Amino acid sequence: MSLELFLVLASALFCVGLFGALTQQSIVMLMMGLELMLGGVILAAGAAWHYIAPATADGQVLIVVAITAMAVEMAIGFAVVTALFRSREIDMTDMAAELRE
Amino acid sequence: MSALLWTLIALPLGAGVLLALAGRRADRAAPLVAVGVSASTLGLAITASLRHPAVEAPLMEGLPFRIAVEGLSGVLVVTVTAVTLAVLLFSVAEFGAHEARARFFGLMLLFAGSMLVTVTATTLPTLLMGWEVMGATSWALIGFWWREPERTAAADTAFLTTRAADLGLYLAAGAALAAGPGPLSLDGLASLDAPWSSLVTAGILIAAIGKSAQLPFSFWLSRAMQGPSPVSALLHSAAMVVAGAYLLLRTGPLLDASGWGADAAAWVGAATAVALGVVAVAQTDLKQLLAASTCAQIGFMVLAAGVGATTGVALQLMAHAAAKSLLFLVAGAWLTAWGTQRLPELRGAARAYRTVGVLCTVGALSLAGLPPLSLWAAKDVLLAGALEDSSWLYTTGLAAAVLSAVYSVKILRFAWDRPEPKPRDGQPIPLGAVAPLTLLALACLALTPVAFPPLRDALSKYLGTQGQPSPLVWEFALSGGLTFAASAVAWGWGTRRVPLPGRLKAGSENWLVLEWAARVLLVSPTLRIARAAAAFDDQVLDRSVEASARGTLKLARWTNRLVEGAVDGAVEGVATASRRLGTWARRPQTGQLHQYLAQAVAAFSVIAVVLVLVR
Repeated sequence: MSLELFLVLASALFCVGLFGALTQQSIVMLMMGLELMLGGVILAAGAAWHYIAPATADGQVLIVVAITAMAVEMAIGFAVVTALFRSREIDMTDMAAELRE
Repeated sequence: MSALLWTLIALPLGAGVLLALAGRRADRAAPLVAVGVSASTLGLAITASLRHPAVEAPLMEGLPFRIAVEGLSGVLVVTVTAVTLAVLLFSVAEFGAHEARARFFGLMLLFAGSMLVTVTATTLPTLLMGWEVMGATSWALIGFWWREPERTAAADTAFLTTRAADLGLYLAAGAALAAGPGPLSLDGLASLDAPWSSLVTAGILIAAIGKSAQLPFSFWLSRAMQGPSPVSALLHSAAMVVAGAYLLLRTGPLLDASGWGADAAAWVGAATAVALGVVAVAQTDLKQLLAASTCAQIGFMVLAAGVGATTGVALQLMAHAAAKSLLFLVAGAWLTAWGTQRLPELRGAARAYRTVGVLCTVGALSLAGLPPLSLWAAKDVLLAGALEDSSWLYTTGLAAAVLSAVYSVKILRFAWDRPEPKPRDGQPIPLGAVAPLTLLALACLALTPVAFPPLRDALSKYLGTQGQPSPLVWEFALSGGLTFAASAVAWGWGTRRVPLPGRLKAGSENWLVLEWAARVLLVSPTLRIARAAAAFDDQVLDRSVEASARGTLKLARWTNRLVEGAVDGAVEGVATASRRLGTWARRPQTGQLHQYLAQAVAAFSVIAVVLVLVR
């Protein structure tokens, strides 16, 4: 196992996530794409810590902070989506176009 | 000393202005005030003529306001103020209570004040100031009854005529200034250089003969008779009309120095004396007769001013002022009593009012120049000066003297004829009006000894003109005899029509058709030029302006229709197109990421296809 392999895996995850975020119209699928991209980033960060500076704990802390922030973001996102769906039965981005103009 | 002279001119001017401004509110007080002012002015004038004061005040740069009483102006100051007082006294009694008395007395005082400025002025600008105010007041006085259009028209004629002649004085002042800067004092005009002195002489000559109603300006005096009789008594016998002769006398050295001015003045005077004498003989209206005789008598003064007989002029001026204002006032009194001033209708007027008749006789005999009355001797004194100059002038003067006897006796012949007229509206002549007439008649008589030595010598000494030719015994005898003969013939001829050839008679009755001539020669061409200029203005200038405005308007409409439409349309089109493009451009911007991706895929596919195809 080596750093390159992890970075390849992380970039593959990020690309899959980006593709999902760009192509999907369903909000749930779109948010799954975002999760995948963040997962890729966190994987790359963890690999970089492990292979470059394993002695210090700062990298780990940083990664935990990023994961926490991601979890909170996603929770808020899903809360908004749930609220939208409950009030107007919206589950696709095209249907939530009322902020246009 | 200076306060005396300032008061002399300020008193009548100030009181006159105040009265004229006060209007009808002051009507009741006006006669009293005017007579009081006039009497005190007379007192001041007599004092001034004895003391010879002179004052000066700054007026313009290098042109001071300068007045002085000396010699000739002393005589004139007293004459003017005395006649003013007599005329105002007469007006108090005669001028109806319903008339605008404040305006009348105010204007009379204003006139007297300006006349005083005129005769005391020693510089041209000062003289001009008095001269102009005098002309303006004379206009207001002649047109006193301004509700009657013919009277205001007469005032206009008189004013315009004298005003036109007055321009000569401006010419003179301008020429004198051009010749050299200075105070333009009247005595200093004689020392001007050659071309300028002729201009100054011409200007002064024109102004003087215009104001004195000499030929060819005489007609304005005929029209001026439309004014009230007291106005005629003051303005057209003693004051305004003698101003011209006085001016010529004051500028005598200039007339001599110019080489031709003195002869011109003398001959204009002589011609007027004869021609207007004939006119006076032909008149059937009392006031017109008196007006023509005024022109003739002032002709004597102008003649004498031309030959430099100052003593004769002073005598003639005083005696004529007294006699003529007396006669004018008598005419006014008769006009009030009978409502007419036509001689045939006044037949026997003197019999009805004996006192006035006798006073009138004194005035008329004095005017006739019958020995031993003052005008007879005065004429001889001034004709003695003319004889020294040329015997032709003397002969002309004698002929004019004979004519004056004829027309004066004509008045008397009508006035004393039978039968007595019935007083039309029974208005008696008030006693207060007879008193000033008596004073004037007494003045006529009292002036007689002044014309003879030793009083005449004293007068000459006062005027500073000793050594002038005095008439010989044969001259006195000749003129006296001729006058007597003429009077006798005129009395004998009676009230029949004047024996003159038809055309001459018609011309004389019409004042030698001078007004017609002035109309044809001056007024009509001026009016015609004015009309032509007005037509040019209307037809060419006005129309071209209108046409250019209309053209501009048309051009503007055409521009609006064609160019503006195109420009407007283009701007609108650009705006519409931009708006549509904007709408189109906004359509793909949906905010949906997946749609942007689809658009990017499509665009890149197109670019790829193009690249492949182009390569």
